[in-house]
Amino acid sequence: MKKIVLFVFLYFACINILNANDSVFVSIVKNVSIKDTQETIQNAELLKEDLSKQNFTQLVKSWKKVEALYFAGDMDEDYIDTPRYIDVFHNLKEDLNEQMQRVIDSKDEVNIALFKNSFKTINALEYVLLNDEVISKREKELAIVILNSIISKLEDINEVYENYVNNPNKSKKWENSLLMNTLIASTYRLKEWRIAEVAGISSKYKNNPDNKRAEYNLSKNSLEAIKAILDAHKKVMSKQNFKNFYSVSNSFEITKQISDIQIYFKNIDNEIVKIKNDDLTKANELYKQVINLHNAYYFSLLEQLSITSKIVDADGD
Amino acid sequence: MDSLNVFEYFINPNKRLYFGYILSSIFIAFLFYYFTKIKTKVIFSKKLWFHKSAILDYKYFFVGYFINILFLIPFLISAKTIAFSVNKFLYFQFDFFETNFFSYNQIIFLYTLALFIASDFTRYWLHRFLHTIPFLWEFHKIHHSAKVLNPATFYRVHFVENILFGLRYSFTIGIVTGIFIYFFGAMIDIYMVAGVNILLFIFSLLGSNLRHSHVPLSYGKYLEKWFISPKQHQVHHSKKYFNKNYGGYLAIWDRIFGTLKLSSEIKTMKFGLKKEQMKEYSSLKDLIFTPFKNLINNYTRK
Repeated sequence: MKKIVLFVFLYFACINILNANDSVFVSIVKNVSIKDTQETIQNAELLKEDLSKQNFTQLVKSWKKVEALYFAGDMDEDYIDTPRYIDVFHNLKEDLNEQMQRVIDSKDEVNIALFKNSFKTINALEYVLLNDEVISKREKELAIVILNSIISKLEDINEVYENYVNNPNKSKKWENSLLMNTLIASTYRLKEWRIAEVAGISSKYKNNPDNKRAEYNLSKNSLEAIKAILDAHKKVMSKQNFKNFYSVSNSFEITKQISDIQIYFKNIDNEIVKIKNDDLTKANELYKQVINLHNAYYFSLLEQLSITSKIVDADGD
Repeated sequence: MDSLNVFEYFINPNKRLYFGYILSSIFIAFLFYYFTKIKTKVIFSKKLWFHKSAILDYKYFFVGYFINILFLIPFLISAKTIAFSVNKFLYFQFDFFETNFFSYNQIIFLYTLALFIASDFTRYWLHRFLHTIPFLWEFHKIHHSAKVLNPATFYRVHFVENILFGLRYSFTIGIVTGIFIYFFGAMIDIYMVAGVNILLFIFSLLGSNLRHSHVPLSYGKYLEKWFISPKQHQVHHSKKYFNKNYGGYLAIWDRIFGTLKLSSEIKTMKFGLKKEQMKEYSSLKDLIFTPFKNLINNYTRK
């Protein structure tokens, strides 16, 4: 018995030591990316069983976290486009709702009717489930096929992450750079696509606010999506029980930047509380606060974490 | 240059006199003499290594080290500042940019190459300006006042010239890095060997110390149109051809801008300045103060 206790103790001690030696990136993938991806798969399965609005909201929330910190495309180039097979927000020129209505109305077999990749995305699913009060038999069948497609893509993502944490074969420089680039791009999309374009702040829609441009206007989940994205960022930048940029801020000499970022998170949260009924048309202040966060990533952290080039002192000739 | 250690110049691969580059140059010189059967009398001559000019080079190398510490460090730091200023400028002019077009390895390759080419290009022009702008030529004369050439002649450079090269470094590296950060964010890196850009490491290893030597190593007619050979640089040090071969590693700039001279076209080389000028550069004090003295004289004469 003593041997078993000792073995178990040593096993967990070893696991702890191994985890402590993980890089920030591997720790994030283990503790955030994989967990969020698996949670999204579970939520998709739950939605398959019960096609309720709440379950759809849960799926949106978990998926947005996965999307906000999507690394699989850089770990394995074969998966660079995978998020676009799940979500086409801001990546589609046609009116998806109009197309999905035609899919619902058509008499074609479900798999044939969903012939386009964009028809099997979470955006298509939103229309199928929430275009009216009742979910018809046809809509149920469509939703199941869409969800199966989403689950299959998420399983691919999960596999890429699992493979990477089992064999982290890239340099720490690459890992930290990817983490930074992902956060920067994510805040840019957050402020421009999800806030500025809805609130009529962007140059394209100047003084023309319209909630129809919001990410999940039909299900009124746009603010939930924004919150989920910010939650994912907090997993990387705020205090957690695993290694992240917050826990290594001293050794990376980014304490000032990390501390500023906590203030921006707080300010953003304060602005989010003010938004009611998913109405993002008056989100000007929220936009300003997200700019601060984006700039903190883009200018301060990037500056601190990026490289300086060296050159032979081949000067004078 | 983190601490005052002059020997760092011999153990740091970022320095031209790094022992690895010296050894490789000796090895290349050995092969050169072995295969060409050219007499080695000059290269082993005491007169060469203990020539007044060579001794002045050695002394100036040590003095110059301390001068450089004082004048170069601030400029080396500012390359980063320029990089982020350029990035900021591009960001505010053209907004955020994101691309997945290039793989990580392709970006590293492009960045490594861009740094090398841009640096060689600006070195060509600064070097040319040092010859063609009378004010700058007064400072660059120090380097050309060497009557005999040895690897330490590389450091026979006035501190004003060092400042200019420091600025050149900051702007070149800063601008290239700023552009790359704008396009690729944090995901930029350099292929390096021993902490040095791999291309510079290779070129330094391939006999860069023979440029300032009496080993007339030519790359042949074809290669000399692409790369500056040690002999081509020696041609540049020859009195008649100060206005030729300004290039660092690449000969393409000399070709494009009409200053290329192939080593095969030159029969004899005489190093140093005109006889009457040479006496102005015979001591450490001269090397530091003569340019200022000449500039004041030129100004007051007007």
